Formats: sequence, C-alpha cells, structure tokens
Amino acid sequence: MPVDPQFPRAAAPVLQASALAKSFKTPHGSLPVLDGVSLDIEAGRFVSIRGASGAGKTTLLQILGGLDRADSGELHWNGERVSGRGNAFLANRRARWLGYVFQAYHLVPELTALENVALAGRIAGRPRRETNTDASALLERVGLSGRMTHLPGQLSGGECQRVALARALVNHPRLILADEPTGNLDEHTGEEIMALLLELTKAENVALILVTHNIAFANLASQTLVLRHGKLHDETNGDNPENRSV
Amino acid sequence: MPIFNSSMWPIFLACRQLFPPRRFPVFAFVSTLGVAFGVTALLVVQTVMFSFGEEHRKRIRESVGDVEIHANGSPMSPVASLEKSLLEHQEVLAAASYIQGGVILKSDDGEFRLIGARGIDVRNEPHVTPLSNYLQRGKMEDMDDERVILGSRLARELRLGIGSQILLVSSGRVSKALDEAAPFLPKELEVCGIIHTGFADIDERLVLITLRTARELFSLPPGSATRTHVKLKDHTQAADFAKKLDHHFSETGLSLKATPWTDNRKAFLDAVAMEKELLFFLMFIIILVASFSIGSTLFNHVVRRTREIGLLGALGGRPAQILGLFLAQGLIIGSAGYALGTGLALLILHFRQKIIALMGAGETLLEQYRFDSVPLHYDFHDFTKTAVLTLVLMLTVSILPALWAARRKPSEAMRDAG
Repeated sequence: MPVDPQFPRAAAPVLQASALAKSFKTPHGSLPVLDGVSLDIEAGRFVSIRGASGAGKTTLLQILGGLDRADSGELHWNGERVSGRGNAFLANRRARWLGYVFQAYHLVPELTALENVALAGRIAGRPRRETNTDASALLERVGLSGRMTHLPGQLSGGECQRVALARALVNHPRLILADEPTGNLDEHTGEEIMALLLELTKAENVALILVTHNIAFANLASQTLVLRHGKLHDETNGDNPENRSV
Repeated sequence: MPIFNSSMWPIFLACRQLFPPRRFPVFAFVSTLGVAFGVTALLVVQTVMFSFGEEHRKRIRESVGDVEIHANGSPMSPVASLEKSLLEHQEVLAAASYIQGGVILKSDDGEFRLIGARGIDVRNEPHVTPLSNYLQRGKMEDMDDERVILGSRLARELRLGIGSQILLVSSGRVSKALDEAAPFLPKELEVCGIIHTGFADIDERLVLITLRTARELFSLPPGSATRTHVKLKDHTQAADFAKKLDHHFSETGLSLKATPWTDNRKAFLDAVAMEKELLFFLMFIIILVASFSIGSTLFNHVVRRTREIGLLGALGGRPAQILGLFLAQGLIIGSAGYALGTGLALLILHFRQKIIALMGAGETLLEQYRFDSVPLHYDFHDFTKTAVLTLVLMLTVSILPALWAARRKPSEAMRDAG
C-alpha cells in the first residue's frame, strides 16, 4: 500500500536523470566523476550498474537517491523535479519513496531487528502500529520471524542484510537503490540475498538499481550499465560497450 | 517500539543510543554522574547557605519581633500607653515591652559571667516572641520577680539547674559603685527554667527576668522599658510599617525610632547572602567545566556515529530531526544528571549532622554561624535556578555537536564512515 496518497503515481518513469555531471575538487584540480549521465527507470525495472573501483558508481547512486547533488543536470522522481530542491523536501521524498540497501548493512546497533525496520517507517511519519505490522510481516518474509528482538550484534552478516532489505521495503517504495548489497557476504549467502532482493522487488513491482562488481548478478538485470570515464554504457546482452553510451 | 509517536523518533533513538539494551551505558553513566556531582555540590552549598541565612532571620524575628521601637538607648515611659497606641494599628497583632541590659552573673560555685539580661513582660511577651517554645525545662508561668530562666549553654557552663541560686547585678551599677565608692546589693534569684534555641548567641548569653526585676536591677522608673517590640499580621510588611511609625513619631515630636527586623544584623545577613552568591558562582564553574567535558565527549560520541547520521539522512531523516536527536541526548543527560544530583543533595542534606560529626566540624559551625546544628530550609528558587542552569548549559554544549551532525551531508557521512 502506498504511504503517501498525495504523491503522483502516474505512468511517469520512477526515475529520470538527464545530463548529470559531477566533479570533485582535489589538490591537483577538478576531478570529473560523472560526465553527462542520463538514465530512465520505469516502474518494476531492474537495472544494474557496474564499473571499476573509483569509477563513481556510489556517487551516481547517491545523486540518483538525492543524498548528493550533481553539479549540473536534471533529476526527476516519479515525474517530479527534485534537482535544486531543498534538503527537507529531498528527505521527505526519500523517506516515502526510496529504499536503500548498503554493502555494510548500516543497521542501528542499539535497535532490534524489528525496530531497525520500523525506524524507516517512523522517519517517514507513518503511524507506529501500521509500521510495526509492516515491519513484522517483512521480517517474516525475509525469514527472520524468530529474530525480531535480536540486536544487529546478535545477527550474522546475511541476517543483517535481510533486515536491511526489509527496512528498504517497509515504506513500499517505488525504487530501491542497492549499493553492493552482497559485497560483505560469502558467495552462498550473497546469492540468497540477491534472490530475496529480486523476489521482493518483483513481488512489490519496485524498480531496482543495483550497483555491483558481480557480473553474474549484474547480468540478471533487464538493463546492464557500466560506468566508465564518467559515462554510462549499456552492456545489456553483452553488447560492445564502447559506442553505446546511454 | 515504545510509546513515542512518529515525530518523536529522534527522542526514542536518543534514549536508545544513550541507554542501549543489554549493554552498560558507559557514556550516559559517566556524563550523567559528571552533571549529577556538579548539581549536588551546587544544591548542597546553596541550601546550607540559604538555611543559615533563613535560620538567622527566623531567630532575629523570634527574639526582636517584627518591628522594634526604642529611644536610642534611653528608657521609654510609660510603655503601657505606647503598647496601647501600637495595638490600635490594624497591622499589629501584639506588642510587648522589655528591658535589655548587661549584667554580671555569679553562680553558686562563685563563677562570674558578663551577659545580657532581658526583662520581659511575662503576660505579653509570648504573644510577640515564641521563647516559650524553646523551653527545655520549666515553664514560662513559673517565672516571677524572684526567678529566672537561663540559656542552656550558660546553665551548662556554670553547672546550674532548676532550683539553683544566682546573683545578678547590672554592670552599670558596678561601674557606678567603682566610680563613687558606693556599696551595692546584688539581686538573688532562683533558676526556674532552661531555654535551648540551638542558637549560641541566645543559649550562651541569655538570662530572662521579669520586667519589674529588670527595672530594679537597672534602676529604671516604674512603667518604663528600653524597647517595645511588635508582632505584625504580615511580617513582610515590617519595613513599611517601621517607616510609617517613624513618620508618625517625627510628626508627633516623639524621639522614638522604629526598626524593622530586617535591619537587625543586616551586615551579617548581607554577608551570608553574598557568600551564597559567590559560592553559587564557584559551583557554577564546576558545572560549567563538567558540561564542557561532556560536550567534548558528546562530540566524540557524535563523530563515532557518523555512519548512522548518514543512514538517518538516507532513510529520510531531516537535518532538524538529526539536530533534535543529539540535542535530546544532551538534554536527557542534563535531566538525568539533575534528577540524580538532586537526589544525592537531598540525601546529603538529610544526613548533614552525621556528615558534620564525621568531619569534626561541629565547633567551627558553632563559632562561625552560632548554631549547634546545621539548619535546613529548602528554597524552591535554588532548585529551579539550578535545573534551568543545568539544562541550558547542557543544551549549549550539545548544540555544537548536534549542528555538526545536522549539517553533514548523508553522502559525505557515509563515505567518511567508510
């Protein structure tokens, strides 16, 4: 169930980015990281982004998620222009509309699994009871029904990432941004988490942007992009990336 | 989740971060103790100083009444008509006259003391001063022209008790006798009561005699007294009423002077009040140092939570809410520290006599403040002032780390945290 009825749910792409550019100042001058990146994500789509370390994948994901600002370019979420808007506006939209999954889980160590998931709902301003119900249901779906009152320190890496998945989904977002969600996990657990992530996003018709080094996981996406020299190249179906910047 | 509603999540999270489940809250514990000790020191010192001042004021009112009328040392006569005219004022509840003067006391054992005698009107005096409330032995009604009541310390020092005989002679008469080589006869009296107020100035030096005996001792005419004191319906009006009387006396040409109780030992009471303020300032510095130390610890605490600050931003937490999260931590520490500090202060004040005894400071107390025990009067204002001060200080030292956290970009926070 959508959490914010006033939010447009029209057929507009859940995310539209055009000509995003970003550079960082260094002692040796300006270091361009993104150079005119454009991207459209439709509802329920799964897009993967690969790239060498330091290519700017995380920076791109943070700009797409409103955690950082591009130097130039336009960003729309669900048809609504968000570039140039204030921090409070971005925070409000992020809370209700986006879900994040990080490589290092980023759970609050003092909160139980249930509280960590429910915290996202509370930040989005949802009623306690409703948030708790959704959080419990999601923890059950990720197989942690018996671990709800456990603190992150009492959970394994895979379990922590399951909690993080549940947290990303608790506000019924339209888009999930996953930054190396299996990077800290062993191969088997990583596969489990990936399968769970895909299952949940598919079931909820949530679009997914996955940043990963894992080619196998990247190739599961309907669109596979590679960030190279500040530009996105479409490598879907193994096409030659050299001439296909997006 | 506990009781907080959605907008209260920063407070909920602040509580959890300070008091994490299944782990000893080291940061909160140490910080709270820091504030608590400062608050305890401040409250104990302020309450003790206030109590001394308040007790002195109480004793002054109890011994001189609310307003005292005198003729600059000369006897006033007839005091009965003065009392009657005073009672006509609607502010006045009771009036009584007395004679105060220096006497030499000789005990059965032949010991002498130069002390102050007060000749009182046994019938009217209890309506103005509650001296009878402090009678340790004997009754006020037992006193007559041949019997006296002594202060407890004086009686103890001279080994006098009920039924003991003493000799009294006014110091003025002795002086006159020495000048004129004239003989004099001391007045022989029997002790009929012992008074104990806990205030050394009274217990060491007081001899209560009747007004008639005093007139005889000091060679004053019948119907005279050296002072008349009144009890008012509202003692806070003492200064105004004294002013009104002074105005009346000057208009009618009477060479009398009215002095409110607040002018009695004013310099001493002002010194006590000043000492209280100075100690407040010194103790405030202790809390200030503790607060800044907590502020520094809080900053470290916030820096260690950089990743969580980024996470909260990513989840949609607004900068104002992140500011609130860390301000709340400062306020929680301040409130808990104040509550604990107040509890400790009340405990110390409750066991103050035992603590004084352990410190062996009883004699100093008596010498400096003239009380044989530490009086206790609570001033609500001191507690409120300390609470406000503590919370404002904690809020002040929390602002910097809280602002630092609130102004972090989520992306930078997560990147810096690694």
